[in-house]
Amino acid sequence: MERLIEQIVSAAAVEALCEFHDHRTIFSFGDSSELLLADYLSRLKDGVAAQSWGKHAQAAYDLTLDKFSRLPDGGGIDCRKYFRGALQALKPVHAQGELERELALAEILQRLVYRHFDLSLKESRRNDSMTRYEWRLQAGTLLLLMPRTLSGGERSQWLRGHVPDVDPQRKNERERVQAIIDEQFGSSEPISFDDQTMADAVAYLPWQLVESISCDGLGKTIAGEKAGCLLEQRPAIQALGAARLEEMVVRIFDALADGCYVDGEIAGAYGLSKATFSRFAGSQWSLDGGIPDLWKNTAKVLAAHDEFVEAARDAGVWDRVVAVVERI
Amino acid sequence: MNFLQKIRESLEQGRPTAAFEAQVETSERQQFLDEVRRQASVKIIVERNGETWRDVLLLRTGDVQTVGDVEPGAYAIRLSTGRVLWEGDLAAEHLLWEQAFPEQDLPMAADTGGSSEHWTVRANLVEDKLILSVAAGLNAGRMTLTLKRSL
Repeated sequence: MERLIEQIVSAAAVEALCEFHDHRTIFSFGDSSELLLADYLSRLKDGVAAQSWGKHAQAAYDLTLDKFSRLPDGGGIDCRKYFRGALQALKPVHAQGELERELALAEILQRLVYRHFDLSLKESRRNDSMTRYEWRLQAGTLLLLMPRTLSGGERSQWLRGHVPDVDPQRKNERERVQAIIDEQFGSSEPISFDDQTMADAVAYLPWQLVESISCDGLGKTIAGEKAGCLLEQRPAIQALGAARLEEMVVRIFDALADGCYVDGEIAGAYGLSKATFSRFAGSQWSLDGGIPDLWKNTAKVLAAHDEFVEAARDAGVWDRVVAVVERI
Repeated sequence: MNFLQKIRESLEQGRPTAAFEAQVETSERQQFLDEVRRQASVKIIVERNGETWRDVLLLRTGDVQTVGDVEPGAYAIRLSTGRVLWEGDLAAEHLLWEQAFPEQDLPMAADTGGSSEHWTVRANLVEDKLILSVAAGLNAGRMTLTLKRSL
């Protein structure tokens, strides 16, 4: 896949881009794995729809899909920038083998697409506080987004005072003026990676989490990862918000350590129903019901810990596991 | 849930093997560890005649898994990421002993031991790390996928 992404970045190869979008099933969401990018985004969109900001989900979906599928045609979004970011994030990974690098790149792309969906959602929510304004000038008109709080006259006055040397006929002039407006009125949330390294943008990769266990402990590591992937959680868990979710997960692990883990107690403290909490972090589960989300997450982190995996194998815990499955 | 606390302690103390000392077997513990194995595995998808036929999970740290009942057909082997690793036709001459080795008797099961001289197909799927081997049998063949330990 590394060569495929390199072809997209260096040669703007349409065939490579189509191969990626039509055949590369590198994404997973909940119990669904082997998803194409559009399918993964669709699940993120549906998961967010139940929240108070759910009306922005479609816009976030569209914007994120554009970021990873549009080749430039004289301006606008360029997917090569985002794929280049994935290759940059792969550089520090000490994986020499082709297979190892393929799997690492898949993890990076999943985290990167998630991050951009999150940012696209924030951008869409920010744009909700702006409305369109036509700035009419002698040489032409510029269509801009400006804060609702400013009247038409105030907008015109502000623009005259803050935008030097405006020329509607100049190439990319609209973008230049909008950037000046955004700098003054925009959200403090970062929405562009231009000044950000990929190392900051892509977090919660499996090898990073394994390192974190040594420094922060398993509970805090899992808590941080869960909060960092809030949009992939069930709606009732998403509604807690990142900070409370992280706090709840730490509390769960602390209760385990103290030997006093009672499902109903923690559920009540965070306003969650027993059923919701059971699906998230129940202490008991049946074969049919499946492993609760938090423990599945924990299993994923442990799976990246080579020494733990080898210890499990040596202990013979998987001697009876059927590793070949017949598809029905 | 004591098993989770034991795992936590063992990792934070830098002693992963301690997670498996003197442990009580419960269904939750086994399911959890099975999930770890699933997540720690590379998933290989075997297609036959254009349809998904078998999923093979190979432990990332090195593993060998064998698929039986391999009958003649068009096969493709794909990584779960969608990347096609190998495509080819497996015919009777690859899968049925009588046709693959007409001059030799079919060895007893105890004698096979995966001897390389009996492979009818051998292919490196990814460098020399992931290897496909096909062996002939009495009524059908066997396909073995080997993931070498360096991953």
